[in-house]
Amino acid sequence: VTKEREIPHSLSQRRICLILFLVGAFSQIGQVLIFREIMAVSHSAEAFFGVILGCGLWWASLGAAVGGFLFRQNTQQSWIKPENLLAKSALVGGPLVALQILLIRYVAVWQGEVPGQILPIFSIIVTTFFCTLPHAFLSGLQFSLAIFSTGRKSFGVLYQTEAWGAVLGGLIISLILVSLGPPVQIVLFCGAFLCALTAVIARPDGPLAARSLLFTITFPLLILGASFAPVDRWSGEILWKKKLSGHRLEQVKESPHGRIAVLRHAASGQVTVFLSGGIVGRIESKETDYAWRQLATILSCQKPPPERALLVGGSLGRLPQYLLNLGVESLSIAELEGEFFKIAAENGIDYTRDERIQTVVEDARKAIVNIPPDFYDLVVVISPEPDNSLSNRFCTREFFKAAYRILNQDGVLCILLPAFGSSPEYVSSHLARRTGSILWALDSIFPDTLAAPIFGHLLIAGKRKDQITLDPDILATRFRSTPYQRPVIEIEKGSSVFLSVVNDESLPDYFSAIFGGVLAKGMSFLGEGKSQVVRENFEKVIRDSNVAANLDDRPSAVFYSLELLKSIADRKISGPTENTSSLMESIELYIFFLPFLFFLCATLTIASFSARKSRNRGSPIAERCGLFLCAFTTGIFGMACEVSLITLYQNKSGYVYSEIGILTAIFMAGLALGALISGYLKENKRCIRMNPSLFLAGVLAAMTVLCLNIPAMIHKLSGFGAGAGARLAVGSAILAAGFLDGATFPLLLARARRLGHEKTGSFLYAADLSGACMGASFTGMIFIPALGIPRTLQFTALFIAVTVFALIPLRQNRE
Amino acid sequence: MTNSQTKVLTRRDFIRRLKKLGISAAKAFPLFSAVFLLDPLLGRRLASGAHFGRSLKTADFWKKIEGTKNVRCNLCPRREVLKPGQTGFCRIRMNKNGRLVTLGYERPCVLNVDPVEKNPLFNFHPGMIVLSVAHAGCNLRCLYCQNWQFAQKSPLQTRNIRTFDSKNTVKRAAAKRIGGVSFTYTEPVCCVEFVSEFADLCGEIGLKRTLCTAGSIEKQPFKNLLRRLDAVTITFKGPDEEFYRKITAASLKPVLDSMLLVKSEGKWLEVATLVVPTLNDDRKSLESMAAWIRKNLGEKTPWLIEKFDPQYKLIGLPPTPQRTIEKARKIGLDAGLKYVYVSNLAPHTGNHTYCPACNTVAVKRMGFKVLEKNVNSGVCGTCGNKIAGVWA
Repeated sequence: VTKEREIPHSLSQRRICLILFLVGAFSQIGQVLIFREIMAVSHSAEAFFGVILGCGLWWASLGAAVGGFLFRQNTQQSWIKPENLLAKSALVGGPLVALQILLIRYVAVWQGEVPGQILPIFSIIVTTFFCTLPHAFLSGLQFSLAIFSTGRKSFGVLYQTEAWGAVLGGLIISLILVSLGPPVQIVLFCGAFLCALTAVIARPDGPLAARSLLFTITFPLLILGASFAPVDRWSGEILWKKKLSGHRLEQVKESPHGRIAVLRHAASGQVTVFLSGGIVGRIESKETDYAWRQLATILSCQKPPPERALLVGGSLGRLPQYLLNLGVESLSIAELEGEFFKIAAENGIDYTRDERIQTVVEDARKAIVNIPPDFYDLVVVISPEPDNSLSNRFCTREFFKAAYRILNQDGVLCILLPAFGSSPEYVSSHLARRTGSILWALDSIFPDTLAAPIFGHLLIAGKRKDQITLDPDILATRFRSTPYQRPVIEIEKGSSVFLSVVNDESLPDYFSAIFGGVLAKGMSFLGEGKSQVVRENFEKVIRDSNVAANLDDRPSAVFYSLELLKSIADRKISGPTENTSSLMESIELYIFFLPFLFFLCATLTIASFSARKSRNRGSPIAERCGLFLCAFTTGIFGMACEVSLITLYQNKSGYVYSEIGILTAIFMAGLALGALISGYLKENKRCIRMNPSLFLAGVLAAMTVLCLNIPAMIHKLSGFGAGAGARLAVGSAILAAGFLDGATFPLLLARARRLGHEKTGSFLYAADLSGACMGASFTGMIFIPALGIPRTLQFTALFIAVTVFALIPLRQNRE
Repeated sequence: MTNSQTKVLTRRDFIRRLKKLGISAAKAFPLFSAVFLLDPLLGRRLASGAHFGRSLKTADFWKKIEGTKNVRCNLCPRREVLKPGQTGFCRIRMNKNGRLVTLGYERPCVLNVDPVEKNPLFNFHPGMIVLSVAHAGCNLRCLYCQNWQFAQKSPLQTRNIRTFDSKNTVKRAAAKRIGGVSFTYTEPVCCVEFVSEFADLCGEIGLKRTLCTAGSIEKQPFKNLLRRLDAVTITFKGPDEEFYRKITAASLKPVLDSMLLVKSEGKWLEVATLVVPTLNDDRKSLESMAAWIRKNLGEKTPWLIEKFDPQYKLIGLPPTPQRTIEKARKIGLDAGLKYVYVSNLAPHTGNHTYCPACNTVAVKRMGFKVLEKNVNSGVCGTCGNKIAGVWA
């Protein structure tokens, strides 16, 4: 039998806690920066939020487990003393995260074989999986090192310390650092700061400085020096040169909403603007953007012609200008990112010069709440691919309801969705389902809707029946009655170009010819008579897609969009193939439930196995499994709640990712408070000390109740104004989730110690992180899009309720 | 060891544990990879149960490999050897128990009435209404595929026209006074059996027969097919082998050979090029393509310049600037080509057909729509110069 002996540590517990606090803060900063970097290469698809978080947690749990395995015994050899390793590892944090950021950038470029090529979802997941490794693994290892440095009894204190550190880090990154500038430089600067503070804390009696005073001074200085080098600029130039040759990188700007890159085509002067790696707009050097002009013409021919319009997105194009040329007297343009207006102004579209235009720098979903009813004649939404809840919020029934309110009695809503350049003659089932779910949502609010394969997919909804039209003859008749400039046809004569105005008789031809002729009335080959064959077939396929309407709480369009992206990005180009797709495609969604089913079965097996044992003869294996399952479930609960709440918050209150650090900080604060209070109760309340399993069961029950009530709670509290109510509701729910998550840990540890499993601390931590990893990745990517938020939380509640059975093996009371 | 003894972690212990961890990780790796191996294997089992519906037609242009059930497909330059159950790169031709069958025969997924300009053909009966026929599948993998929803699928995966019957379709086309039939949108040559038979039926009642292809086909099958056609558009996608290999997963040489073959067979040929930013929009690439057309196909061969919009896998590229399209057209004209069009940007000055002699508009268009014709039996209405092409 080996018994531990307390070995004097070279660093006091207080100093170790201080180092861990700094490490926790820096880890949070590093995590947010890595998150933003991966989002920038994965076109901001929010589904990857869960994957990124999940991968980070997975590596952290592995780091904690490896630490637990390696340092099970005490050591007196200074080079592998946990406290020394902890201090040394804190020094390398900054450079490590900086290298990770550069690695993510270049891996993404290497994976895209051809400029502009979309990355397969699998590649993004693989990139995320490996590129989150170093720092996340180190964080987990550092926590284990801290446990072994201070003795296992201080686990609760360390847990709280790290959580408070993460709170501070989250606040610093969200409130100060995120808009300060280039991420590599920021992380190096923070790394230098961490390095210097660690050196100071570890210096007096630690071997770190005693051995190499010069090193502890020069190393932070070196990192600080490196933070002033324009590494981001250099790496950005190399990156864009490979991604988009023939273009010149004009500017890169970090904003709370992502990374904005402006590139100019050297030969034509065309400006393309990217936000987090995806194209958000382009400005042609000449005013020859035919497509926008044609769209503006169609919109101006809805009845009655719009005079007051709201444009959501689209500032980086010439649609506003053409709408104004065609009778719109007052135009509001809402952009989440104010920088777009500046970029437009720098490239010849200055909105401040036209009194008819009002620019609104705010999340349009939020702004729309404060607009009086019946205010606009026309609302145009230029939506990016709704593969995340941020962009999907403009395609849901709730948004359409809000738009319906602000439109006057003849008002028209128009939505433009990307279609990946698909041909209008055939709509694949993936694309039909994606657009179909949005059209169904639109149908449930507006009495009249139309769909056409224009500009990707165009959906038009009218508040009054039979007012909207895409019929070329009717459009021509309506346009004839307007005084606006007629379209022109350019004709060359020698070296000159003459303009031939389309006369009123030829206007039906004009509307039939634009957009590749999709509006043209022609002979139906399979049917009889003349009709808009292409458009009508398109609309029929979309309507027949038989999908659920897209809602805020059940963003089905996100799911179909991810399915669509997968089908496009799949890189199967070589060799003869089998006839059907792979197993993953055949089994589809159900496969994702299998791990959960497995854990539920494991829980019930262990519970039934232990239930037969007497109270004093417990099974150590079942006890350990019970402990790990509880830790695992609390991890799932924490992340499922956090991701669901973030999505709910975004639906209610607008863009959320600039506040992600604050939200995480609230969660971490809840975690720390939970650990603190449950630790206190465990020490001071005899009933809890004697029977922590019962208290644990109570906490699990509270988790279940919280899961079941979150959606209703948020909906109710959000009624108190647009922002404040939702903020209060989400903030308190996240705090509560963190609190319950944190409260379980001291109890589980106490239980483990009481049952004689004293060395399981770091493994329990690893189990908790593994659960969190699973909860984060599955909730964001699969469950919310496929099941909706309420059902996802109900599923989590079921999972937690079953986990109560895992407490059966822990009911023994042996010391 | 007694209770009072302390087990201290030595350097040797530490390294031993690291080694143990490494070994465990190495052991876990095969397990991890087994999951990836399992996926296609199980997928294959599922494939064996695929239901084909109607009986499958035996394909043309293939050879059985002696002593095996494998077959070699001789239709396109890939000359793939297919094992039983395997489908070719095109997703259309499949080895079914040692017999090569075609999955696309009489399974079109698009039947549309279009102007011939959409084929695209600009100097072949301008304004004629044609029946566009397309089925799923293609033997190229263009990253910017414009019809990816069905070109990058097998005919078993698309919504096909259930009531399709070649004879009835041709009868209906005649009844509806359609001028011709156009095999377009995807890669018709992959389903050469269907295209040949359908073209024969159309020929019997005097319908014009046109084809739009990437030209990646072997000489003999293409020659066979050409006999049944009146006009062909070949997409000349890029200037060199590297472009073809990287962007289309095909080869340039067979495409050039196909263009020469069409010319030598005396069929009307037009060449189309999609100008994609950063990939083939540089002056050198465009000049080399224009020069090749001028030298090998003649100055009267129309060259159709098409604008790229972010599509399929290349959604990270911006659309082709209008100035680049105009530059490409000018390069074509400067190279000596008489008919250079801007195809999918409307209205544009490059949509019209100009008389090379008097430079007046012979056919005025808006996009694919013909607005006015100033040509009488192929002769310019203004100066009497003969305009190349096939005219009514």
